[in-house]
Amino acid sequence: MTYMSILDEINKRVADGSLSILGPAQGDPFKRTLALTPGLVGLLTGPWPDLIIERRCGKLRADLEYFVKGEPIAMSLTPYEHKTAFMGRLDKPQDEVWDIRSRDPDPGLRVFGRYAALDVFVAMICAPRSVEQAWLQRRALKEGTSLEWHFAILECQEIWKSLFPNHEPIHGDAPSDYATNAFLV
Amino acid sequence: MTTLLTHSLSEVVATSGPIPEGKLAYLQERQRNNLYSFILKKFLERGISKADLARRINYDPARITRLLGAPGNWTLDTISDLLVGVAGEELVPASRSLQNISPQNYMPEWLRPPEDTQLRPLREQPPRADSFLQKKDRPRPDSGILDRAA
Repeated sequence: MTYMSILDEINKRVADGSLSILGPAQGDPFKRTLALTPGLVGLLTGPWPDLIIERRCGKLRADLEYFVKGEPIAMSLTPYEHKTAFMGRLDKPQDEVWDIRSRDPDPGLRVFGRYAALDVFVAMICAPRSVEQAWLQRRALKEGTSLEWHFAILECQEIWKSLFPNHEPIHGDAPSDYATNAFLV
Repeated sequence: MTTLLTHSLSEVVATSGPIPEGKLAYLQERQRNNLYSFILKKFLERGISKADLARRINYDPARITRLLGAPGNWTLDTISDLLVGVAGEELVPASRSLQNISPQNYMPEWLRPPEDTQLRPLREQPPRADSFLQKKDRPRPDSGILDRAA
């Protein structure tokens, strides 16, 4: 059996359509990699049922491209703290499930994923933070200890297992273990 | 099958017709994120503490943490306060055309360009004097940036 690194696996998943890569906009640097599941690609590319959703997804795309461009990002490694961070590691930290926060405008959105390697994030699902959105077909996460958070984290782990059965996400103790140009909020 | 998504900014303003709502919102957020990044980089470069910044501009420290934690819908007054407090500078408006933005033809070295998309020929870029690009980010001969989703 030939060993494949997780980066090889990502390339393989991109080739078979299980993942896509969000590139930067024309002229922007391509400093970090964000791999997306087909559901997230649909959110970013449409078609959208109405203009409000189209606008919301346009902003979500810009927020995700911010990551890809290698811009400075504020991170929180401690669950339930520093809600202002751009991205945070969720409970339990050893599960290494993270969310990227796209807060504005309402509804605030959370994109769940895991770090496959330094500067390589695999984004898997998107959920509304506070208010249920029919177009996302997902219940609102609400408070940090809710069952919805728990289920979203579990779902993320399940998707990861199906994509990369032989690989774990990376583990770290500092922002620089996960992304360059990142700092603790 | 979508494999690599990139936005062509020039397409946004290529026609004289109405600009799609999603594109307008996307550009609003880019603008917001650009300003956040601009001020955050200055804050990190100067190495001042959030407490010092809060004191200088008479903000609550928690507000500084919130402002610097993630991009937000800052008012012009907030931008002014932050820029003065962080760097003793003022914002001088400047803009660029979304047309004629030259693409940067590199991608992370490990990432294989999808085969089902059209690649633009690589134009080697001379190394920058202050080269901040890591080896893995430098252009490679067989890669290019993709124009659009496949």
